[in-house]
Amino acid sequence: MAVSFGNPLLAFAGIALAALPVVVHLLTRPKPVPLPFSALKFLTETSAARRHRSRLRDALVLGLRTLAVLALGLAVGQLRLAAGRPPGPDDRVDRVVVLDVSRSMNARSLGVAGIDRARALARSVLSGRTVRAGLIFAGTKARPVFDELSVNLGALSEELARARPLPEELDWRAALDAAVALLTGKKGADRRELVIVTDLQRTNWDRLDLSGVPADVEITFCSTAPPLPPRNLAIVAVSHDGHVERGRTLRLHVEVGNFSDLVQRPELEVRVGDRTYKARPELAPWSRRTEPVEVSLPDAGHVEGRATLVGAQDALPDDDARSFVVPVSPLPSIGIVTDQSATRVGTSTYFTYRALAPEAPLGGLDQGRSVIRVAPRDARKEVLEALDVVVLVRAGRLTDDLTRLAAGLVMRGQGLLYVLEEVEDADGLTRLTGELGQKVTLGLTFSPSRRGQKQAYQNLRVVDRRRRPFESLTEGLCTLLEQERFASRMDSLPGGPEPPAGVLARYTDGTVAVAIAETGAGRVGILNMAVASSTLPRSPLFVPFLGELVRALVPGAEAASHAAATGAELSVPLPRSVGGLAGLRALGPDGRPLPGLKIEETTTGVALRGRAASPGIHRVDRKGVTLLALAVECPPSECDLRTVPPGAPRSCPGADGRVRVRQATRVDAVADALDGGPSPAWKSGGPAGGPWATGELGRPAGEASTDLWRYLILASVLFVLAELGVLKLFGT
Amino acid sequence: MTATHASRFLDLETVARLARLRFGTRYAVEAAYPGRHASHRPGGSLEFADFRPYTPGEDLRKLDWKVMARLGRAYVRTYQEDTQLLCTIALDSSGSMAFPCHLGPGALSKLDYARYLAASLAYVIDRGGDQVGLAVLGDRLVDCLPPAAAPTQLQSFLRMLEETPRPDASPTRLRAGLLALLPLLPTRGVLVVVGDFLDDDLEGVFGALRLFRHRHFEVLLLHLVHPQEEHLPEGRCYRFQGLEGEGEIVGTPAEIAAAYERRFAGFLATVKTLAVATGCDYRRLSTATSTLRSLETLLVERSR
Repeated sequence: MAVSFGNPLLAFAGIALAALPVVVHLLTRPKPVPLPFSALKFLTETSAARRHRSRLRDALVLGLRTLAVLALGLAVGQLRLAAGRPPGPDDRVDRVVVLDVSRSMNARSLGVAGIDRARALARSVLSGRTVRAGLIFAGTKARPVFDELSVNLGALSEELARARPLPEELDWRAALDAAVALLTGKKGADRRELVIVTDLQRTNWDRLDLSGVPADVEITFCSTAPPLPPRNLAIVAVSHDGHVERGRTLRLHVEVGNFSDLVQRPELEVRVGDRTYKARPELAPWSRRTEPVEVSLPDAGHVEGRATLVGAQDALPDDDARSFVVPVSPLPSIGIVTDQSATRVGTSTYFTYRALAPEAPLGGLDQGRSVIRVAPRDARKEVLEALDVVVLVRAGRLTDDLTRLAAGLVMRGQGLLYVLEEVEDADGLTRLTGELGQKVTLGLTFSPSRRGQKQAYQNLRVVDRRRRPFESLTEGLCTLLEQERFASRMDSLPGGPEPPAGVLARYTDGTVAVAIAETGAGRVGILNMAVASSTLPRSPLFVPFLGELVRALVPGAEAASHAAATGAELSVPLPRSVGGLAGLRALGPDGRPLPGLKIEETTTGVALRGRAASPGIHRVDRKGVTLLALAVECPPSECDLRTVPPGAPRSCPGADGRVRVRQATRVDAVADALDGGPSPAWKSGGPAGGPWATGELGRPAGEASTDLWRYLILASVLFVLAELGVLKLFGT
Repeated sequence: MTATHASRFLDLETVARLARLRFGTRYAVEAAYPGRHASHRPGGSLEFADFRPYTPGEDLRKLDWKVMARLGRAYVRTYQEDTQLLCTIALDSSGSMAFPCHLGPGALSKLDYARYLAASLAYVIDRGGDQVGLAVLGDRLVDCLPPAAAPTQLQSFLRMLEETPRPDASPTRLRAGLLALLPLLPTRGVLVVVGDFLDDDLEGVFGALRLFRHRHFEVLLLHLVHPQEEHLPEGRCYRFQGLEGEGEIVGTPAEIAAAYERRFAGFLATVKTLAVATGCDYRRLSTATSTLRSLETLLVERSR
């Protein structure tokens, strides 16, 4: 335990004053007057107990009074305690400096970037005659300069001078793991120290846990955070709704964050392809707002864009722009296999066709478009293979050939929607799943309803709103959908001991209404509904419902995300159409191949793997044709520059009283230090030129105990109260 | 009172006030000379004692003829003999009787008070035609003047009082003094013990007094208590010094007074209880009250 005083003179005066009660007691002790007394034996019996009681009382009162004065004196003298052994000048010190190089360290305050402060602070501790040090640049990945501790502090300092913020978020766990690995790698040190130079950004450090750091390691946080968080504006995220198809209007959601205490109206510019959209959203202090942008996408492919806050004057310009990629699919080709006419109004086929091709002229077919009607007898392989999804509605009893053909299509990856209306449909589904064998994971069988041909109208209950088609419908549309009346003639039964998989909606009696079964290749959708007899087809809800249900069956509809975080480990599957690895290249934002990214063959196909270091759009191409575009950006957690409270690291799990937090306050001092001047001043680390200033990471009066005077004042008051209590207890 | 009686313990004013007081006894006494006190010995006084069967050869004048006529048997009437009172005043002169000696030479100590009281009581007894003696007790029987009918007895008594030595630091051992006194006194007398009874062996003291009671002595205990013994003097801090060599104790009255007074009151109660149990007449006298007034109160109460 190291003891120091903020004001040693007052402290020593206080300690000297602690003797005052003893002196006063001795000086004012009453001088007994001699009194010859006859009944002394009664006094002897009486005073024996009394004398002990009196002495105990006097000792207690005197002790408490002395402690009260002593506590007061120590409080005035600003006593500071620090755990651990007091440092010696010749102690061998193992010191690991973790330098936060996350993107928030690039934020500027009063003209100085956080990384500049951090470098100055780190440099002040990377020195010392008996110091063996390590330096770790901490981002999403921890990057130690050397794999072991080194006495070559000059080399570390040179690396430190080259440190730059990375467009990554900080992973403190990785940083601590790397620091512990360095500290535990070598033996023989008298002290082990971990110095973390960071801006203490709240989104990084609010769940700090130091339990993994060995108990004997002294931990110091050097905060570069300015007293007030810098004002920052940021594009937090860019997203879009569901599956995007060519020719459909895309709704982009651009989330803009105002991380300041002022109302801001930045100019938002969204560039998609060759078009630019502008908006000026009003942002309340410390708020986020999602700005919708309607974009028309005439062509399929990977549409690249960039959202930018134009002219934003904020502390961290890096997050004022964000790239994004929107994969635009061509319109799916859909074939409706049916016995019915698609133009006969009121039939199930009519409603299905109108829902899938709403632009088709009334009373006629949308010839030449993507939805076609195929009679079962005409359903040949060459016709159906060209389709993305086959819809079986009122197809009658499927022939064996057609059943095998449908199963083969599914096995090739095409989608199939079976609308169950009649007994033949249930039988056809049974034979189809039999043809698919173990590959389909439905777990359901359908049989004619116990009610026979009597139709009972029921309501829908959506079971899984997180999957298409209900995921694409809003909450309100799902609610409206549940209010429609549905007719069904099939009951669903469990197909085995396993619970049915892929059930998305049921009727009120528990019968499965909507399900999507996975086969490992294509998907099989089931719509258990007498279409023409239900009210839904007459509602506008039927178009988005059936459209989303069919699009959920389109091959590649649930492709991997086209966004990733910088610095994070990537594993993005490429489309199946890519085929083999031959000719594939991974290109960075600048169009040059990236060494950190690899294209590998996996068990499920080909995938892009590795770490993307720089933000921007990364591509995988073959002979100049982009097969995959990936927008790599820094996670939005780096946008909020607010910090954790200064005392938070001291109270986190595993802190155990060994954590100190120091804060650089004088920006000009930091700047001086950068120019070779004295090291920065510390908020509570004592006068400049102390151990810290010389790089000796010793035991200066620490911030960890600066608030001890409050406890001492409290203790003094408690001692006085205790003294009064003792006097009361002894009846004095 | 003659000039020969002159003593600092018995001035003329006191003598004048004592003239109307009498010292009586509640029990039969026995002495060689007739007096005014009833005796167990049959005698010729008018005080009827009892009947007893007639023994041939007795004086027929003592035969109760009326009883013989009524009962047919001869009974003799017996009468008490009036005799003198033999009173011995035992004076405790132990160290504790010097209290309070801290108030200076003019202050009245318990021993002085006892001597004034003894002188006055002796005068009253002597004036009643009885015999009075003096025993000075300390850690032993210091001095003894047995009761006598000599005309100079009172003078000797007063002289002995005058010559009683100032108390030294000797401890109180009343038992030893009383046991030494017992064989020196005749039976059926009166023993007046004047002292503070601050004796470590109270049981022994009252054991000795029981011997006196066994010998048909009437025992009167005059327990002297100084006000500062009952209530400790006020003050900040005292070094209490024992008068009988017990050492000293430093203490503040405010802290120890309550417990001390409880113990002292217990002591007083114990003495009284033992006295009553022994069959002694017990009087507690405060030295704050004048000796004359205390004596008047004592004698008036005893005469009832």
